[in-house]
Amino acid sequence: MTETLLEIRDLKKHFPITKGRLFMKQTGTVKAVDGIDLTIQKGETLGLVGESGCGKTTLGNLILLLEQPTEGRIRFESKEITGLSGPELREYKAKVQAVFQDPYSSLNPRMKVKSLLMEPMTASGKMSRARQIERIGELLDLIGLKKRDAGLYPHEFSGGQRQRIAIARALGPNPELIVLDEPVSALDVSIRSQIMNLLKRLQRTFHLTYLLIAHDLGVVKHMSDWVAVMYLGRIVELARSDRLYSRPQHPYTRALIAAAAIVRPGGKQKESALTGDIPSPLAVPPGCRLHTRCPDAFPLCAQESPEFKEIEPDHFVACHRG
Amino acid sequence: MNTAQLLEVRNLKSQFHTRRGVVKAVDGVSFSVGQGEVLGIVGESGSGKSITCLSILRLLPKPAGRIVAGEIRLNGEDLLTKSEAEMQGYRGSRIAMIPQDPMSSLNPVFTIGDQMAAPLKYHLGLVGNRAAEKVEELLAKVNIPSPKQRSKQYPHQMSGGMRQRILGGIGISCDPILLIADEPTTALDVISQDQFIWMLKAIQVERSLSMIWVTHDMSVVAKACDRVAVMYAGRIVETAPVDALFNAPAHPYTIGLMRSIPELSDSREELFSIPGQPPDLLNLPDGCQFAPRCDQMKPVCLEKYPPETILGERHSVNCWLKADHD
Amino acid sequence: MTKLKAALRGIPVGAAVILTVVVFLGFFGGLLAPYSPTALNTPGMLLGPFSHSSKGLHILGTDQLGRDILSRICAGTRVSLIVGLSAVFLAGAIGSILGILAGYFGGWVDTLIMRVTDAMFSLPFLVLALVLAAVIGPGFSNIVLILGLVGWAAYARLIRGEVLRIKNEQFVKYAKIAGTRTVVVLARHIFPNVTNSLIVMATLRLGIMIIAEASLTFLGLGVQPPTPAWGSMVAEGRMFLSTAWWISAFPGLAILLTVMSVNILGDWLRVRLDPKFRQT
Repeated sequence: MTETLLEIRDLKKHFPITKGRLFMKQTGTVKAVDGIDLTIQKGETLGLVGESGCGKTTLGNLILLLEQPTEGRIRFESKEITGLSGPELREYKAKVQAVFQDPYSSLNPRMKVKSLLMEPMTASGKMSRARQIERIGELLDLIGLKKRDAGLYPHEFSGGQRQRIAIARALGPNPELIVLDEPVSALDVSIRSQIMNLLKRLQRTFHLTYLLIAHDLGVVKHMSDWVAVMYLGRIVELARSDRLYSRPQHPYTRALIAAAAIVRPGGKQKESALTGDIPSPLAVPPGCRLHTRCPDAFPLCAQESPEFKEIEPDHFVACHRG
Repeated sequence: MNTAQLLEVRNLKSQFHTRRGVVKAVDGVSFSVGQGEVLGIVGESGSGKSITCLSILRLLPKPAGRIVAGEIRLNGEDLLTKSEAEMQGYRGSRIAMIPQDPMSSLNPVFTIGDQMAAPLKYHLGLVGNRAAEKVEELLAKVNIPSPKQRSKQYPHQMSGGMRQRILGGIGISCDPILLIADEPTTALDVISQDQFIWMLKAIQVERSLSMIWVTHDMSVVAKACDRVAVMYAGRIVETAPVDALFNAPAHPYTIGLMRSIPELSDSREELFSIPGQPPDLLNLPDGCQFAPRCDQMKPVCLEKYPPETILGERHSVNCWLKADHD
Repeated sequence: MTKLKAALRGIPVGAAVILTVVVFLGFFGGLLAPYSPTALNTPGMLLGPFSHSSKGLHILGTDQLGRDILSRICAGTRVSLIVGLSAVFLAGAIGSILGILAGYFGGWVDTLIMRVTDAMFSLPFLVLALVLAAVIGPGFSNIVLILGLVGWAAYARLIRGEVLRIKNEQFVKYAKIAGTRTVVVLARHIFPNVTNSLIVMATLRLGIMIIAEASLTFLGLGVQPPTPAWGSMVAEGRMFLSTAWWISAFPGLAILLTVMSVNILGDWLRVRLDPKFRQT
């Protein structure tokens, strides 16, 4: 019996580009997120895939309330969260946490592990200091570090261990949802699987919900129940993980899978590859965003933006062909 | 079979003298690259793969870094005996390198055209119109559309994929005999990576160019390389033709690496992972450096470094488990 | 002990020794001076180095009022050091706060503070100090105030640059996500990561402050007699340069050695604290 934890409707985030210091004139807009509909069920992992510049990090920032949306709604546990303030905001922040890509930049080098772990718990305002100290021991245990490591500084740990600390930090305030923004891409290959296994174990133990933002399809496939593919600010395909990988419908999804698929020697370059390079988000093509690169484009694609439709149960695509 | 290897590296040792001790970044590495062959060097951080390439180009950061032993023979000549002036003549023209991180490898205040023309002028003496023509030719070769306009643009006006291809263009611009690509796809997304690899492969095949691909990504190896050397803690632990490496890896580290890649495992359950942490290059253990993390370790592994064992056609490994093969 | 040795590795020994002596004299100068720095001894005036008066041996000679130069230098150390350090502290405090605010908040706050900083840079430091001194008046605490008010601009610019770099670090992003209050973000995340640069800049600026104090005192706008100060000693000796050069020369040398040592040590500290070279 799954309930909807996070619901996003028609979400947009546009950044104005201005010239001049004192008298600013708007010369353009970056439509980083341009109309997204998404739901995440409690206890599941939604993988969000796309090239850099597609807006997936901006989407993460919106959910984490680092940015306010230009338009649209975000509902968490059925409550609207944009425009929250005060104690309700603090409560939301305790329930929605994040782990970032760079284990070297995400921990303040001047703070001991103890203080790092306590930060979100203190900010939530709901845990007594004594309880926080107790929790530090629990958290270190969960990630496989010793109690005495709490007194050390980040530079005394390896990249993989620092990422574990970042994960423990996110778990401190007992969150419901964790936004994982490229959690393993900066780590050595042999460490990645350690961290992925840890994340999955923690998810099972604490019934956590994950939004996994990544560009590595293998990582996403291994960890996600659902996968959403993003291109220039829009979701082009959304499906259950196995369905997406076995029967991708959108040309962009197909190109991603084709590019990532060859892992054994002897493969040839797949025919359905896209041509050209990704357009700048300042100059989003009219109609379907992909039409300038799509091998299957026809005239309608340049004029009209395709609707996001459910083409079969649990499988959504935005494409004129589908 | 040792005839006419373009590049032969024998027992290369490069070290860094730091305040905390000597870092043996490359500790006795030997390999060769044949004419028209693509060798992949695979390893994680601390393996020594990038330092190996910098050593070939003799670009180790001074004064801490130095090459303390070994031979690097390009067409028979030992590069380690060359003067700095001679090496400068080689870099970019006979041996070229494509660096990673297209963001910082291109100078933001010069146009693409200017940056591409610089080595043409220095090594080939091309200036003016002839240089501009060659620049456009190169841009077209690396699939940059509208070369004439693009050559007048600045790096920030291009996507990451385009910048990396431009770096590739600079690499091949003076017709090198050896091209070294140092993790050129790491900062790129999957589609740009794919485009780059195939583009470079086409050029390599067309010109019968010898290449070294340095990477940690096995799919790059599968797409681009003929032979592979796997490095760990400053040494090569296994060398094999690419098919043999994927179908019959011999060294426990290679096996572990392959098994921990999600694409190659279909199961949604626990991924295999190599236990432990990457090696601390200041405190390397005696014996095989991988032993502390190896699930098939034997006592001898901790005492002595295993000798090279030949397993088959150009397939060799340094592991005590295979040492009774010979 | 080994931690201390490691921390002091590569330290320029000469400069360190000189500064240690200076600091020592700053504390105990008055007590260590062989003679009273202020007592007049007119019969023994204008005696050269290593000469004797009724009081005894004067290693560095006496000045026009018979006061022992060495004793006055020892006593004057205190003024130079205290004024120098206090001015650096004040300027550093003002500059850091403004730099952090400008860097972190951006927008009009940044523009405003940076334009003021630019204006301060366009006016010569000493001229500004002189004008303020003429207005506010001389004296020990006034000088500290003046030098602090005139000298903060360099800190503000430097710290602002550092803050721009730091605020993009992911741990700052995380703090915002976790709901940490802005004041706490500035205090626990931003400030501790600028202290390295701050310390280095402070040591490098200390030399400037010491010279500034000496200059103001030389012109009569700084510390007033009878408090011994290196600047006023140099000033007083001006009239005797051809006959009793030691009256100006030795305090001048003291200024030179102190400022040079501070600069050399500041350079060492900068390299030492730079994360690229830092040992972990």
